[in-house]
Amino acid sequence: MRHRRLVCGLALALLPAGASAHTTIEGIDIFYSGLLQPLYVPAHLLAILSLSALLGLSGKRTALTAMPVLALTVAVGLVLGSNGVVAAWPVIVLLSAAMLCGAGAALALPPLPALAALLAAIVGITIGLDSAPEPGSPAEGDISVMAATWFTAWAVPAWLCAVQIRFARDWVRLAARIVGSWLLAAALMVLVLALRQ
Amino acid sequence: MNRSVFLSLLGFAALALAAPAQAHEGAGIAGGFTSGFLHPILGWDHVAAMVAVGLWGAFLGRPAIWQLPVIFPAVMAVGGAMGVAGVPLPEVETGIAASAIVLGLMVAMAARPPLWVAGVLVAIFAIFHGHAHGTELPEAANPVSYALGFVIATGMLHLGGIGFGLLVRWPSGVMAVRAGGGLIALAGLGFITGTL
Repeated sequence: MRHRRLVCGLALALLPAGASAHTTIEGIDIFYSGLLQPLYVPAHLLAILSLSALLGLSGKRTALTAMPVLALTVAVGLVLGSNGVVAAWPVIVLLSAAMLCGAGAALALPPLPALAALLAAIVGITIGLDSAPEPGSPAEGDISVMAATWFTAWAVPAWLCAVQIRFARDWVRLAARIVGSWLLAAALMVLVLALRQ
Repeated sequence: MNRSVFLSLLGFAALALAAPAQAHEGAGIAGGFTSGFLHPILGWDHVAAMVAVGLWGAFLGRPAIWQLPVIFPAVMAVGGAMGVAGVPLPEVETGIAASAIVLGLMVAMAARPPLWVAGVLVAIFAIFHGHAHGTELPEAANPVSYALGFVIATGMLHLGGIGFGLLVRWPSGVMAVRAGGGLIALAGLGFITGTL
């Protein structure tokens, strides 16, 4: 009963934003734009989902090692980005990381906390740098927007990992491996396109 | 408790996955995803072959039932990368049609080769399918969304084939699945001769 209330509460808290005639970012409050930023930039989403699949399959110890690294590096990236530091080739870095994480998930690699932490750091710092409000934008210097982006960038993978680890049944693990394969495929193709361009 | 939590999570997933309504289509992230998602589904040769992969995996049983859907997207990506990079692959459409014929026949004849043989066969055909998708990727409104869309659609077609293939647990189901394989092989023949 307590778990059901927790899940329902979580569902209510994470209900998506209201429908609009245009994409969700355009025309909505900048806070919500910051909240949804990591989910609406395709390269960010790909990296987040791939990392989640890998960490969920790797188990609790690896996830508990990598998640704080992710949270910290996203924060560092946002702060540095808001001070003018620019990520070098963020799309290529994120797609490469997504590819590696997807491959790791598809292969169901044994738990490697150090590697997981490194991948989390790369994803985190890149998403943070790439998500920092641009100079001259309405969100420039807005701490609440950066906090919202930071929250989504680590809370979504944390939730996905927790679900995988909590319900660690065979079919959940297989589904994560298949999803990892999908993400590897998508990341590889777009990476080749990005490099070609 | 586990079942109710699971149902709750399913409901939550349904809520959380609800996309915002959009008055337009074909543009931006959503448009790219839609285009990519529809690409394998609107190509009957793709549909036939993808369903056949799922059917054959279910027919072969564990571990093929999940290994083939893991192998296929990964190898398809290689073909896709070749298509994106402009590396030519001869007779792509013939290869796609042939995949429907061969995989359909494997199911129809209840072929149960060693897993590595099935994997290699599926991987070879995955290259052709990937190349076909990859050549259209540079034109997509949003390449990442497009790639996610067609990879997910491919996976869902596999799932559909697996779902149908699970009928093999019953004797009449075996006949139905093998008949399905035969139909897929015939469809492949139609594609390759231009009849379909």
